[in-house]
Amino acid sequence: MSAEEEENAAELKIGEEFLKAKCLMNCEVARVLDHRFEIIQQTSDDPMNNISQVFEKSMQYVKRFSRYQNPDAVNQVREILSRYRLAEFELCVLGNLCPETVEEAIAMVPSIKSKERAITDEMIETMLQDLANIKKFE
Amino acid sequence: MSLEPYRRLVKLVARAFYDDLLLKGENQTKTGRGDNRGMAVVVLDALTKREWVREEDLAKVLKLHSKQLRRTLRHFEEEKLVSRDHRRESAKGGKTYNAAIAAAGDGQQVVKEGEEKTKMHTHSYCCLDYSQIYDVVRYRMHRMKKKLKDELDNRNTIQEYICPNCERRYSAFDALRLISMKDDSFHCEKCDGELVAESDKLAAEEMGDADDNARRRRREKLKDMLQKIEVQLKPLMDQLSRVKDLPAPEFGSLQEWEAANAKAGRASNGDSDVGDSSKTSQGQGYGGTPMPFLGETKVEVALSGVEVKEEDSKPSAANTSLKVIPPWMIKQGMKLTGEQRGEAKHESMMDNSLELTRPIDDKKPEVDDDEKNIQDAFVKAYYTALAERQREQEGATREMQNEDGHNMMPSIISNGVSAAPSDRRVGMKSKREDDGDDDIEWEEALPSGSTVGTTKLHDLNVQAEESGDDEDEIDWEEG
Amino acid sequence: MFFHIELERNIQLHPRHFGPRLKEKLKQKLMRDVEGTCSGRHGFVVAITHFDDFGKGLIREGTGFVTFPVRYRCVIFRPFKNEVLEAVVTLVNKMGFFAEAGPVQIFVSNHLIPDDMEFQPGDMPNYTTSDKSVKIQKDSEVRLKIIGTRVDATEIFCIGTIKDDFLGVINDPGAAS
Repeated sequence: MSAEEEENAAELKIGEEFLKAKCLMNCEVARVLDHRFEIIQQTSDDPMNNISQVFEKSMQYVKRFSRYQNPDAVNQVREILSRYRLAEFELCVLGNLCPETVEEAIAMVPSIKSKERAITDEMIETMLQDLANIKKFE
Repeated sequence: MSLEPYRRLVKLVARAFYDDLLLKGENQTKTGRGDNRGMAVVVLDALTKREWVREEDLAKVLKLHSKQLRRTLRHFEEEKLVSRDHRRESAKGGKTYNAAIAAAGDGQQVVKEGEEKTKMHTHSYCCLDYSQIYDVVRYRMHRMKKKLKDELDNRNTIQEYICPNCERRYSAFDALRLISMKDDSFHCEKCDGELVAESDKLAAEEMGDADDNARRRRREKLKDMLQKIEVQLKPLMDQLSRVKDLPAPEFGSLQEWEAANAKAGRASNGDSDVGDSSKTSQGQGYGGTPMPFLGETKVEVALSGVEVKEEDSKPSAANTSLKVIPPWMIKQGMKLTGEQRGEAKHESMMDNSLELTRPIDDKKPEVDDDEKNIQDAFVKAYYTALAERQREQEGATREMQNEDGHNMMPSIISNGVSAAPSDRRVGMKSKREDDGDDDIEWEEALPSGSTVGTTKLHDLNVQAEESGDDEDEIDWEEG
Repeated sequence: MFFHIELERNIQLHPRHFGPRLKEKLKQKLMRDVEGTCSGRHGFVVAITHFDDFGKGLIREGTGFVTFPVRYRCVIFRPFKNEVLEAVVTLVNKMGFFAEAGPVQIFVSNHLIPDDMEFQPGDMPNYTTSDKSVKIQKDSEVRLKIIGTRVDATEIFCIGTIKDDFLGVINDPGAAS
């Protein structure tokens, strides 16, 4: 009955605070952390000693799982996904996982098909197509 | 202190979860004793009407074998519904408790013979822990639903592991700590035993049977169960949310409670008789005597709706709501109070006597204040007579209040018992002499007054036993 | 999921740091205090990105320390129940496998691995389908769904499943590089 117990990303129940917050796709995090790491490297003699384990693991992770390398591509992805009035969280899950079929997209982000939002399968189809195109021309 | 909603919560809990509780002694394998299901409900109900109570007293009142009761209470202690306390005490120690219980106005001061014993004896006491009950029940409901929902949602239950050696349990959340360098298994942190995955019965059923039909049936069953929880436990859920923001009744430890009540008792003892009775005669009537056991008089309105639902299966819930007993009910009610009379305390007797005359009491101020106007307004002859009798009776009541009046008052009450039809209330006083003889039982009880013989007690209990509800009725009326 | 959020924190500073480089000191102290920590509410703090506001300092009576409220933005990582994400397998045993998604560790117990995958012990323990087409071993990348999280003082630990549609291995390490 605690707040944590009620959390359910499948229904977009992630708490008011996180619902309003900006989410970052892995590729976006990679850019932020890269930038930060450069600064550390410039200012510190021993950069590896100056970053936390959390930082290091996160950086490895987002580099490994970045779908888009090019900053422009990342912006385009955001732009496309925001046309469908997705929540930040949903947008980033789709951006991270790049589902290929409508069925897969819905399995990854079940909240996308919630009743109050009239997102049809056709719309999802178009969206996935657009995302695939960005990747293709990156 | 918001006792009433919490009490109701306990009653609902009793019926929801302990209705079919079957407790057998470990060595009592033969079922000769028979089925004691339902006893748990009776015990919990009885506890809602008490604060701390000596367990042997409770056993006597409930006509249960003390071992049986203890077993039930031990179970409730494990379930975290009940606090218990045990201590060795002599007659003196018992006195503190008796004093406390007297101060608390229990009206069921049964164990007088306890004082005669000089030997040290271990006595156990018990009391409902309301705030804990609230938490425990909420947690229970939560777990019930969660278990079903988890399985229904995605069949993704958190795996649990058990150590076969020391029976320590772990969950998949502990996995990191359980990894062993030696092999591929998880190992117990305590004894290094190799853990075994506890295949949840529900999950195992499913895993073993990949058949789609079985899976579907299973899902339907789960759904059904969840729905049943929602429907059948709704009254309980409602009550939980009702109680949510109310402070839970706290009685403290046995010692604290005794100390507090003894103090209160001393403070009010001096004038309690006069004070209380004057209060009641002012027409505050019903709950005039403050009884910590019962809380203040509260009229429960919102609850009645829920109550109805519950009633069809549980007739014993029928008496739970606290209402002013209407005149046409008095017949039955009085009978019960009458039974109780023998063991009831002095103040509560007063209460009942006033209760009896209540319908008249209500009118009294008018009659007194502008007697003439009213008399003019109604059929003169009848009401003059009526008023006369009222005054007469009032006089009698006052008399009783002023002096101790043990002899007078109960006889009036006994009249009340026999003079069941409401019409006859009016004639009570005059009837008394005639009916007095019929009430042999009462006459017997009178001399013993507040100290009640055990034989008497038995009689009462035999009658009370007819239905557990009678108990309820008595208490409600006193409160 | 990674988030970019604004948080506030009170930073205590010793008077010896008061001077022209006060702000620098505050930043350093904040980064040291916050980065790499984990809380149940906000998850792991990965990196501070901006310092938005330094409030007025308040002298702590008796010590001379001064407390400054600082508002800052940071990247955090916070897993949610039923979130689907990708992770790298770190350890495989017969009880299941462990994986990492950034700073968070995830355990997938064997009953949440599809029934057709069987544990194969050996130097490189793994879970393999009977036709050997799919294999999960150390360093495999898997897509999993979080079904439970447990928070303690310094860690968030997750339980995951790959026993659902579109979950499981996304590439096998042999073919990856």
